[in-house]
Amino acid sequence: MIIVKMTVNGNPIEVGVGDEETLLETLRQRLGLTGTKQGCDLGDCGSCTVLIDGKPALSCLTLAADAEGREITTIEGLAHGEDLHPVQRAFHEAGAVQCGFCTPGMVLTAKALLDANPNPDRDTIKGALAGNLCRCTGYVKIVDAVENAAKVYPRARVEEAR
Amino acid sequence: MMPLPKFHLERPQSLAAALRLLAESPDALPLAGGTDLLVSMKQGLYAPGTVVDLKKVPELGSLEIGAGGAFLGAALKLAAVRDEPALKERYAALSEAAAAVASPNIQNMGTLGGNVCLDTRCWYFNQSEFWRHSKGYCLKKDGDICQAAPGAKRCFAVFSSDTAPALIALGARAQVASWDGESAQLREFPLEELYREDGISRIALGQDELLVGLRLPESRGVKSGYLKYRKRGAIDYPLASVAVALRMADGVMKDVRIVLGALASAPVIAFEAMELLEGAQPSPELLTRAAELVGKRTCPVKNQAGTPAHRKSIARVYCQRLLTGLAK
Repeated sequence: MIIVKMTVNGNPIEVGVGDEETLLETLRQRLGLTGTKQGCDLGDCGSCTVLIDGKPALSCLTLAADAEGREITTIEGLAHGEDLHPVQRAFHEAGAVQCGFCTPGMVLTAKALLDANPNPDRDTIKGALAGNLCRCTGYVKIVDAVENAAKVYPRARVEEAR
Repeated sequence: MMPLPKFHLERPQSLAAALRLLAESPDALPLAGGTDLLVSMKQGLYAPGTVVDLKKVPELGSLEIGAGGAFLGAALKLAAVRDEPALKERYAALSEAAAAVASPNIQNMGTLGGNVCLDTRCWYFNQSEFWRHSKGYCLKKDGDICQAAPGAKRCFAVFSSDTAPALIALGARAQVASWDGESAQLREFPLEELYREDGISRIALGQDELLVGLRLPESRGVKSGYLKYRKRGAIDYPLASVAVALRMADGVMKDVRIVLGALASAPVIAFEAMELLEGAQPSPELLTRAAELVGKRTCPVKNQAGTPAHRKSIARVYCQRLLTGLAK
Protein backbone atom coordinates (compact mmCIF):
# COMPACT_ATOMS: atom_id res chain seq x y z
CA MET A 1 0.00 0.00 0.00
CA ILE A 2 1.29 3.45 -0.98
CA ILE A 3 -0.04 6.60 0.70
CA VAL A 4 -0.79 9.25 -1.93
CA LYS A 5 -1.43 12.91 -1.14
CA MET A 6 -3.19 14.74 -3.93
CA THR A 7 -5.77 17.46 -4.52
CA VAL A 8 -9.01 16.25 -6.05
CA ASN A 9 -11.36 19.00 -7.25
CA GLY A 10 -9.73 21.46 -4.88
CA ASN A 11 -9.87 19.19 -1.83
CA PRO A 12 -6.56 17.96 -0.42
CA ILE A 13 -6.86 14.24 0.26
CA GLU A 14 -4.70 11.40 1.43
CA VAL A 15 -5.54 7.92 0.24
CA GLY A 16 -3.92 4.48 0.40
CA VAL A 17 -3.57 2.82 -3.00
CA GLY A 18 -2.19 -0.46 -4.32
CA ASP A 19 1.01 -0.59 -6.40
CA GLU A 20 -0.92 -1.71 -9.47
CA GLU A 21 -3.93 0.53 -8.91
CA THR A 22 -4.86 3.02 -11.62
CA LEU A 23 -6.02 6.54 -10.87
CA LEU A 24 -9.34 5.60 -12.47
CA GLU A 25 -9.85 2.80 -9.93
CA THR A 26 -8.93 5.13 -7.06
CA LEU A 27 -11.35 7.83 -8.22
CA ARG A 28 -14.26 5.51 -8.87
CA GLN A 29 -13.87 2.87 -6.20
CA ARG A 30 -12.11 4.54 -3.27
CA LEU A 31 -13.38 8.11 -3.67
CA GLY A 32 -16.80 7.33 -5.17
CA LEU A 33 -16.28 9.82 -8.02
CA THR A 34 -18.06 7.76 -10.67
CA GLY A 35 -18.44 10.70 -13.06
CA THR A 36 -15.15 9.59 -14.57
CA LYS A 37 -16.14 6.73 -16.87
CA GLN A 38 -14.41 3.47 -17.51
CA GLY A 39 -14.68 2.69 -21.21
CA CYS A 40 -12.15 0.56 -23.07
CA ASP A 41 -9.72 0.71 -20.10
CA LEU A 42 -6.91 0.50 -22.67
CA GLY A 43 -6.25 4.13 -23.55
CA ASP A 44 -8.21 4.23 -26.80
CA CYS A 45 -11.54 5.85 -26.05
CA GLY A 46 -10.83 8.84 -23.79
CA SER A 47 -13.89 8.40 -21.56
CA CYS A 48 -11.66 8.17 -18.44
CA THR A 49 -10.05 11.57 -19.17
CA VAL A 50 -9.31 13.71 -16.11
CA LEU A 51 -7.19 16.86 -15.79
CA ILE A 52 -3.84 16.35 -14.07
CA ASP A 53 -2.37 19.77 -13.23
CA GLY A 54 -4.77 21.20 -15.81
CA LYS A 55 -3.77 18.90 -18.68
CA PRO A 56 -6.03 16.12 -19.97
CA ALA A 57 -4.72 12.64 -19.25
CA LEU A 58 -6.17 9.15 -19.33
CA SER A 59 -6.77 7.96 -15.77
CA CYS A 60 -6.96 4.30 -16.89
CA LEU A 61 -3.28 4.43 -17.86
CA THR A 62 -2.10 6.55 -14.92
CA LEU A 63 -0.87 4.77 -11.83
CA ALA A 64 -2.56 6.16 -8.72
CA ALA A 65 0.91 6.43 -7.14
CA ASP A 66 1.84 8.96 -9.85
CA ALA A 67 -0.88 11.33 -8.66
CA GLU A 68 1.28 12.20 -5.65
CA GLY A 69 1.34 15.98 -5.25
CA ARG A 70 -0.81 16.53 -8.32
CA GLU A 71 -3.98 18.51 -8.78
CA ILE A 72 -6.70 16.27 -10.23
CA THR A 73 -9.90 17.71 -11.73
CA THR A 74 -12.76 15.35 -12.49
CA ILE A 75 -16.13 16.20 -14.02
CA GLU A 76 -17.55 16.55 -10.47
CA GLY A 77 -15.22 19.51 -9.94
CA LEU A 78 -16.58 21.78 -12.67
CA ALA A 79 -20.06 22.88 -11.60
CA HIS A 80 -20.79 24.86 -8.44
CA GLY A 81 -24.00 23.19 -7.30
CA GLU A 82 -26.63 23.99 -9.92
CA ASP A 83 -24.38 26.53 -11.55
CA LEU A 84 -22.85 24.75 -14.54
CA HIS A 85 -19.40 25.42 -15.97
CA PRO A 86 -19.65 27.27 -19.33
CA VAL A 87 -18.54 24.15 -21.23
CA GLN A 88 -21.17 22.02 -19.48
CA ARG A 89 -23.81 24.65 -20.16
CA ALA A 90 -22.83 24.80 -23.83
CA PHE A 91 -23.03 21.00 -24.16
CA HIS A 92 -26.49 21.08 -22.58
CA GLU A 93 -27.75 23.90 -24.78
CA ALA A 94 -26.30 22.50 -28.03
CA GLY A 95 -27.71 19.03 -27.38
CA ALA A 96 -24.19 17.65 -27.49
CA VAL A 97 -25.10 14.77 -25.19
CA GLN A 98 -26.72 11.57 -26.38
CA CYS A 99 -26.00 8.55 -24.18
CA GLY A 100 -23.65 10.72 -22.13
CA PHE A 101 -20.89 8.18 -21.56
CA CYS A 102 -18.17 10.14 -23.40
CA THR A 103 -19.41 13.50 -22.07
CA PRO A 104 -17.25 13.81 -18.91
CA GLY A 105 -14.09 13.20 -20.94
CA MET A 106 -15.23 15.47 -23.77
CA VAL A 107 -16.09 18.32 -21.38
CA LEU A 108 -12.77 18.08 -19.51
CA THR A 109 -10.70 17.93 -22.71
CA ALA A 110 -12.66 20.91 -24.08
CA LYS A 111 -12.17 22.85 -20.83
CA ALA A 112 -8.40 22.27 -20.98
CA LEU A 113 -8.39 23.45 -24.61
CA LEU A 114 -10.30 26.64 -23.81
CA ASP A 115 -8.15 27.35 -20.75
CA ALA A 116 -5.07 27.26 -23.01
CA ASN A 117 -6.67 28.78 -26.13
CA PRO A 118 -9.95 30.68 -25.60
CA ASN A 119 -10.45 31.29 -29.34
CA PRO A 120 -9.93 27.98 -31.15
CA ASP A 121 -11.16 27.46 -34.70
CA ARG A 122 -13.20 24.39 -35.63
CA ASP A 123 -10.19 22.37 -36.77
CA THR A 124 -8.33 23.11 -33.54
CA ILE A 125 -11.34 21.91 -31.55
CA LYS A 126 -11.56 18.72 -33.60
CA GLY A 127 -7.83 18.14 -33.16
CA ALA A 128 -7.98 18.62 -29.40
CA LEU A 129 -10.95 16.24 -29.08
CA ALA A 130 -9.42 13.63 -31.42
CA GLY A 131 -8.65 11.28 -28.53
CA ASN A 132 -12.21 11.27 -27.18
CA LEU A 133 -14.55 8.90 -28.99
CA CYS A 134 -18.34 9.33 -29.10
CA ARG A 135 -19.94 6.03 -30.14
CA CYS A 136 -23.27 7.78 -30.68
CA THR A 137 -21.18 9.75 -33.24
CA GLY A 138 -22.69 13.07 -32.20
CA TYR A 139 -19.51 14.94 -33.05
CA VAL A 140 -21.05 17.89 -34.93
CA LYS A 141 -22.98 19.09 -31.92
CA ILE A 142 -20.03 18.47 -29.61
CA VAL A 143 -17.83 20.73 -31.76
CA ASP A 144 -20.72 23.26 -31.94
CA ALA A 145 -20.90 23.22 -28.16
CA VAL A 146 -17.19 23.94 -27.73
CA GLU A 147 -17.45 26.77 -30.29
CA ASN A 148 -20.38 28.24 -28.34
CA ALA A 149 -18.53 27.87 -25.05
CA ALA A 150 -15.55 29.70 -26.58
CA LYS A 151 -17.79 32.73 -27.25
CA VAL A 152 -18.33 33.27 -23.52
CA TYR A 153 -14.89 32.08 -22.42
CA PRO A 154 -12.96 32.78 -20.29
CA ARG A 155 -15.65 34.67 -18.37
CA ALA A 156 -16.53 32.46 -15.46
CA ARG A 157 -20.22 31.93 -16.03
CA VAL A 158 -22.55 32.07 -18.99
CA GLU A 159 -24.99 34.37 -17.17
CA GLU A 160 -22.36 37.07 -16.81
CA ALA A 161 -21.96 37.17 -20.56
CA ARG A 162 -25.62 37.73 -21.20
CA MET B 1 -12.62 -4.10 -16.68
CA MET B 2 -8.99 -4.68 -17.48
CA PRO B 3 -7.18 -4.64 -14.11
CA LEU B 4 -3.40 -4.57 -14.05
CA PRO B 5 -1.68 -7.74 -12.84
CA LYS B 6 -0.01 -7.55 -9.43
CA PHE B 7 3.48 -6.06 -9.33
CA HIS B 8 5.84 -4.28 -7.00
CA LEU B 9 6.31 -0.59 -7.87
CA GLU B 10 9.75 1.01 -7.49
CA ARG B 11 10.27 4.73 -7.97
CA PRO B 12 14.01 5.41 -8.15
CA GLN B 13 15.26 9.00 -7.85
CA SER B 14 18.41 8.65 -9.96
CA LEU B 15 19.63 6.93 -13.11
CA ALA B 16 22.08 4.79 -11.11
CA ALA B 17 19.32 3.61 -8.75
CA ALA B 18 17.06 2.76 -11.70
CA LEU B 19 19.78 0.76 -13.45
CA ARG B 20 20.68 -1.11 -10.26
CA LEU B 21 17.03 -2.07 -9.71
CA LEU B 22 16.76 -3.37 -13.27
CA ALA B 23 20.06 -5.25 -13.03
CA GLU B 24 19.15 -6.86 -9.73
CA SER B 25 15.64 -8.01 -10.65
CA PRO B 26 15.58 -10.06 -13.87
CA ASP B 27 11.77 -9.83 -14.06
CA ALA B 28 11.66 -6.02 -13.79
CA LEU B 29 10.49 -3.76 -16.61
CA PRO B 30 11.01 0.00 -16.93
CA LEU B 31 7.93 2.23 -17.10
CA ALA B 32 7.84 5.80 -18.44
CA GLY B 33 4.56 7.29 -19.70
CA GLY B 34 2.75 3.97 -19.41
CA THR B 35 0.70 4.36 -22.58
CA ASP B 36 2.30 1.27 -24.19
CA LEU B 37 3.45 -1.00 -21.35
CA LEU B 38 0.39 -0.64 -19.08
CA VAL B 39 -1.94 -1.49 -21.98
CA SER B 40 0.06 -4.65 -22.75
CA MET B 41 0.10 -5.58 -19.06
CA LYS B 42 -3.69 -5.21 -18.88
CA GLN B 43 -3.93 -7.59 -21.85
CA GLY B 44 -1.76 -10.12 -20.03
CA LEU B 45 1.14 -9.78 -22.47
CA TYR B 46 3.68 -8.87 -19.78
CA ALA B 47 3.63 -9.66 -16.07
CA PRO B 48 6.75 -8.11 -14.55
CA GLY B 49 7.35 -8.82 -10.85
CA THR B 50 8.73 -5.30 -10.45
CA VAL B 51 7.92 -2.15 -12.39
CA VAL B 52 10.62 0.51 -12.28
CA ASP B 53 8.90 3.87 -12.75
CA LEU B 54 11.33 6.29 -14.42
CA LYS B 55 9.28 9.50 -13.91
CA LYS B 56 11.42 10.72 -11.01
CA VAL B 57 14.80 10.09 -12.69
CA PRO B 58 16.13 13.62 -13.35
CA GLU B 59 18.82 12.51 -15.85
CA LEU B 60 16.13 11.47 -18.35
CA GLY B 61 14.32 14.80 -18.49
CA SER B 62 16.85 17.16 -20.08
CA LEU B 63 16.14 19.30 -23.14
CA GLU B 64 19.10 21.17 -24.61
CA ILE B 65 18.86 22.94 -27.93
CA GLY B 66 21.92 24.88 -29.03
CA ALA B 67 23.93 25.91 -32.07
CA GLY B 68 25.66 22.52 -32.25
CA GLY B 69 22.51 20.39 -32.19
CA ALA B 70 20.09 19.16 -29.55
CA PHE B 71 19.87 16.60 -26.78
CA LEU B 72 16.40 15.33 -25.92
CA GLY B 73 15.94 13.33 -22.72
CA ALA B 74 14.09 10.05 -23.07
CA ALA B 75 11.47 11.04 -20.49
CA LEU B 76 10.39 14.21 -22.34
CA LYS B 77 6.67 14.12 -22.97
CA LEU B 78 5.65 13.84 -26.61
CA ALA B 79 3.56 17.00 -26.11
CA ALA B 80 6.71 18.90 -25.07
CA VAL B 81 8.56 17.68 -28.18
CA ARG B 82 5.56 18.60 -30.33
CA ASP B 83 5.23 22.12 -28.90
CA GLU B 84 8.90 23.19 -28.68
CA PRO B 85 9.25 26.02 -31.26
CA ALA B 86 13.00 25.45 -31.84
CA LEU B 87 12.40 21.78 -32.67
CA LYS B 88 9.53 22.72 -34.99
CA GLU B 89 11.80 25.12 -36.84
CA ARG B 90 14.96 22.97 -37.09
CA TYR B 91 13.72 19.38 -36.91
CA ALA B 92 10.24 19.58 -38.44
CA ALA B 93 9.95 15.83 -39.06
CA LEU B 94 10.35 15.09 -35.34
CA SER B 95 7.81 17.72 -34.35
CA GLU B 96 5.32 16.40 -36.92
CA ALA B 97 5.91 12.80 -35.82
CA ALA B 98 5.33 13.64 -32.14
CA ALA B 99 2.08 15.40 -33.11
CA ALA B 100 0.97 12.26 -35.01
CA VAL B 101 1.32 9.84 -32.09
CA ALA B 102 -2.08 8.51 -30.92
CA SER B 103 -4.08 11.50 -29.60
CA PRO B 104 -3.24 14.83 -27.92
CA ASN B 105 -4.21 13.42 -24.52
CA ILE B 106 -1.83 10.49 -24.97
CA GLN B 107 0.89 12.91 -26.11
CA ASN B 108 0.48 14.55 -22.66
CA MET B 109 1.42 11.21 -21.08
CA GLY B 110 3.67 9.26 -23.46
CA THR B 111 7.40 9.98 -23.63
CA LEU B 112 9.85 10.33 -26.50
CA GLY B 113 11.96 7.46 -25.16
CA GLY B 114 8.90 5.28 -24.78
CA ASN B 115 7.95 5.89 -28.40
CA VAL B 116 11.51 5.18 -29.56
CA CYS B 117 11.53 1.91 -27.56
CA LEU B 118 7.93 1.06 -28.49
CA ASP B 119 7.00 -2.61 -28.47
CA THR B 120 6.28 -4.21 -31.87
CA ARG B 121 2.62 -4.75 -32.74
CA CYS B 122 0.58 -7.41 -34.50
CA TRP B 123 -3.11 -8.30 -34.90
CA TYR B 124 -2.45 -11.65 -33.27
CA PHE B 125 -0.41 -10.28 -30.34
CA ASN B 126 -2.03 -7.05 -29.12
CA GLN B 127 -5.23 -8.72 -27.94
CA SER B 128 -6.69 -9.76 -24.60
CA GLU B 129 -5.83 -13.12 -23.02
CA PHE B 130 -9.39 -14.26 -23.86
CA TRP B 131 -8.96 -13.39 -27.55
CA ARG B 132 -5.52 -14.99 -27.86
CA HIS B 133 -6.63 -18.13 -26.03
CA SER B 134 -9.56 -18.51 -28.44
CA LYS B 135 -7.59 -17.84 -31.62
CA GLY B 136 -4.43 -19.65 -30.58
CA TYR B 137 -1.24 -18.21 -29.12
CA CYS B 138 1.54 -16.83 -31.31
CA LEU B 139 5.34 -16.92 -31.44
CA LYS B 140 5.70 -13.67 -29.54
CA LYS B 141 3.60 -14.79 -26.58
CA ASP B 142 2.92 -18.32 -25.28
CA GLY B 143 2.73 -20.05 -28.70
CA ASP B 144 5.06 -21.85 -31.08
CA ILE B 145 3.67 -20.75 -34.45
CA CYS B 146 3.30 -17.38 -36.11
CA GLN B 147 -0.40 -16.70 -36.69
CA ALA B 148 0.32 -14.02 -39.30
CA ALA B 149 2.76 -16.03 -41.43
CA PRO B 150 2.34 -19.72 -40.58
CA GLY B 151 5.60 -21.58 -41.07
CA ALA B 152 7.66 -18.46 -40.38
CA LYS B 153 10.72 -18.94 -38.19
CA ARG B 154 10.58 -15.44 -36.77
CA CYS B 155 8.07 -12.89 -35.51
CA PHE B 156 6.80 -10.30 -38.03
CA ALA B 157 5.25 -7.93 -35.48
CA VAL B 158 5.55 -4.36 -36.75
CA PHE B 159 7.63 -1.57 -35.24
CA SER B 160 5.04 1.21 -35.11
CA SER B 161 6.90 4.17 -33.64
CA ASP B 162 6.25 7.56 -35.24
CA THR B 163 9.24 9.38 -33.82
CA ALA B 164 11.91 6.74 -34.59
CA PRO B 165 11.77 7.08 -38.41
CA ALA B 166 11.86 10.88 -38.06
CA LEU B 167 14.80 10.76 -35.65
CA ILE B 168 16.77 8.36 -37.87
CA ALA B 169 16.11 10.55 -40.92
CA LEU B 170 17.46 13.50 -38.93
CA GLY B 171 20.62 11.56 -38.06
CA ALA B 172 19.89 11.08 -34.34
CA ARG B 173 22.21 9.13 -32.05
CA ALA B 174 20.93 7.17 -29.07
CA GLN B 175 22.55 7.62 -25.67
CA VAL B 176 22.26 4.43 -23.63
CA ALA B 177 23.25 3.86 -20.01
CA SER B 178 24.25 0.45 -18.70
CA TRP B 179 25.11 -0.77 -15.21
CA ASP B 180 28.62 -2.11 -14.61
CA GLY B 181 27.90 -3.20 -11.03
CA GLU B 182 28.91 0.13 -9.49
CA SER B 183 27.90 3.02 -11.69
CA ALA B 184 26.13 4.01 -14.89
CA GLN B 185 28.20 3.81 -18.08
CA LEU B 186 27.08 5.92 -21.04
CA ARG B 187 27.58 5.18 -24.70
CA GLU B 188 26.25 6.66 -27.93
CA PHE B 189 25.58 5.11 -31.32
CA PRO B 190 23.41 5.82 -34.40
CA LEU B 191 19.77 5.28 -33.48
CA GLU B 192 19.20 2.78 -36.32
CA GLU B 193 21.59 0.37 -34.56
CA LEU B 194 19.14 0.13 -31.66
CA TYR B 195 16.72 -1.92 -33.74
CA ARG B 196 16.66 -5.51 -34.94
CA GLU B 197 14.53 -6.97 -37.72
CA ASP B 198 12.82 -9.35 -35.30
CA GLY B 199 9.43 -8.74 -33.70
CA ILE B 200 10.45 -10.44 -30.45
CA SER B 201 14.01 -9.32 -29.65
CA ARG B 202 13.23 -6.03 -31.31
CA ILE B 203 15.65 -3.76 -29.53
CA ALA B 204 19.33 -4.02 -28.65
CA LEU B 205 18.97 -3.07 -24.99
CA GLY B 206 19.97 -5.41 -22.17
CA GLN B 207 17.99 -5.91 -18.94
CA ASP B 208 20.32 -3.48 -17.14
CA GLU B 209 20.26 -0.81 -19.85
CA LEU B 210 18.14 2.27 -20.41
CA LEU B 211 17.79 4.80 -23.21
CA VAL B 212 18.87 8.14 -21.68
CA GLY B 213 18.19 10.40 -24.62
CA LEU B 214 18.59 11.26 -28.29
CA ARG B 215 21.27 13.52 -29.71
CA LEU B 216 20.45 15.41 -32.89
CA PRO B 217 23.17 16.91 -35.08
CA GLU B 218 23.26 20.58 -36.02
CA SER B 219 20.41 21.16 -38.48
CA ARG B 220 22.54 23.09 -41.09
CA GLY B 221 19.58 24.04 -43.24
CA VAL B 222 18.19 20.50 -43.38
CA LYS B 223 14.51 20.44 -44.32
CA SER B 224 12.49 17.49 -43.12
CA GLY B 225 8.96 16.13 -42.90
CA TYR B 226 6.94 13.15 -41.70
CA LEU B 227 3.72 11.66 -43.04
CA LYS B 228 1.70 8.90 -41.41
CA TYR B 229 -1.03 6.69 -42.86
CA ARG B 230 -3.74 5.25 -40.61
CA LYS B 231 -7.44 4.45 -40.82
CA ARG B 232 -8.62 7.15 -38.40
CA GLY B 233 -7.17 10.64 -38.10
CA ALA B 234 -6.10 10.00 -34.50
CA ILE B 235 -5.50 7.28 -31.91
CA ASP B 236 -4.34 4.62 -34.41
CA TYR B 237 -0.80 3.38 -34.83
CA PRO B 238 0.63 3.90 -38.33
CA LEU B 239 -0.04 1.40 -41.12
CA ALA B 240 2.81 3.00 -43.04
CA SER B 241 4.85 6.13 -42.45
CA VAL B 242 7.67 8.01 -44.13
CA ALA B 243 10.24 10.49 -42.84
CA VAL B 244 12.43 12.46 -45.24
CA ALA B 245 15.28 14.87 -44.52
CA LEU B 246 17.43 16.66 -47.08
CA ARG B 247 19.36 19.85 -47.70
CA MET B 248 19.37 21.92 -50.91
CA ALA B 249 22.77 23.31 -51.96
CA ASP B 250 23.34 25.05 -55.33
CA GLY B 251 20.20 23.47 -56.74
CA VAL B 252 21.10 19.88 -55.84
CA MET B 253 19.91 17.62 -53.02
CA LYS B 254 22.43 16.76 -50.28
CA ASP B 255 22.40 14.51 -47.19
CA VAL B 256 19.18 12.84 -48.34
CA ARG B 257 17.70 10.49 -45.74
CA ILE B 258 14.48 8.51 -46.26
CA VAL B 259 13.18 6.21 -43.52
CA LEU B 260 10.01 4.10 -43.51
CA GLY B 261 8.03 3.20 -40.42
CA ALA B 262 5.47 0.48 -39.67
CA LEU B 263 6.46 -1.68 -42.66
CA ALA B 264 8.81 -4.10 -40.86
CA SER B 265 9.94 -5.07 -37.35
CA ALA B 266 12.43 -2.18 -37.43
CA PRO B 267 12.60 1.19 -39.19
CA VAL B 268 13.65 0.74 -42.83
CA ILE B 269 16.24 3.03 -44.38
CA ALA B 270 15.59 3.40 -48.11
CA PHE B 271 19.24 3.33 -49.27
CA GLU B 272 18.47 2.85 -52.99
CA ALA B 273 16.26 5.94 -53.14
CA MET B 274 18.73 7.97 -51.06
CA GLU B 275 21.62 7.05 -53.41
CA LEU B 276 19.62 7.97 -56.48
CA LEU B 277 18.81 11.43 -55.10
CA GLU B 278 22.13 12.33 -53.46
CA GLY B 279 23.78 15.17 -55.36
CA ALA B 280 21.08 15.23 -58.05
CA GLN B 281 18.90 18.10 -59.23
CA PRO B 282 15.28 17.46 -58.28
CA SER B 283 12.89 16.86 -61.17
CA PRO B 284 9.40 15.35 -61.02
CA GLU B 285 10.61 12.25 -62.96
CA LEU B 286 13.57 11.69 -60.63
CA LEU B 287 11.47 12.06 -57.48
CA THR B 288 8.93 9.60 -58.87
CA ARG B 289 11.71 7.10 -59.65
CA ALA B 290 13.14 7.51 -56.14
CA ALA B 291 9.74 7.00 -54.52
CA GLU B 292 9.33 3.78 -56.48
CA LEU B 293 12.49 2.44 -54.85
CA VAL B 294 11.49 3.00 -51.21
CA GLY B 295 9.65 -0.29 -50.75
CA LYS B 296 12.59 -2.38 -52.02
CA ARG B 297 13.93 -3.39 -48.63
CA THR B 298 10.72 -4.41 -46.93
CA CYS B 299 8.23 -7.21 -47.29
CA PRO B 300 5.44 -6.73 -44.73
CA VAL B 301 2.98 -9.55 -43.97
CA LYS B 302 -0.77 -9.31 -43.40
CA ASN B 303 -0.81 -8.53 -39.68
CA GLN B 304 -2.29 -5.01 -39.63
CA ALA B 305 -5.33 -3.39 -41.23
CA GLY B 306 -4.86 -2.94 -45.00
CA THR B 307 -3.00 -5.31 -47.30
CA PRO B 308 0.82 -5.28 -47.36
CA ALA B 309 0.76 -4.14 -51.01
CA HIS B 310 -1.52 -1.23 -50.14
CA ARG B 311 0.69 -0.17 -47.24
CA LYS B 312 3.80 -0.25 -49.45
CA SER B 313 2.10 1.74 -52.17
CA ILE B 314 1.01 4.40 -49.65
CA ALA B 315 4.65 4.66 -48.52
CA ARG B 316 5.61 5.36 -52.15
CA VAL B 317 2.93 8.07 -52.50
CA TYR B 318 3.82 9.72 -49.18
CA CYS B 319 7.53 9.63 -50.02
CA GLN B 320 6.90 11.39 -53.30
CA ARG B 321 4.69 13.96 -51.57
CA LEU B 322 7.39 14.72 -48.99
CA LEU B 323 10.18 14.91 -51.58
CA THR B 324 8.15 17.24 -53.79
CA GLY B 325 7.49 19.54 -50.84
CA LEU B 326 11.05 19.56 -49.50
CA ALA B 327 13.25 19.51 -52.64
CA LYS B 328 12.73 23.15 -53.63
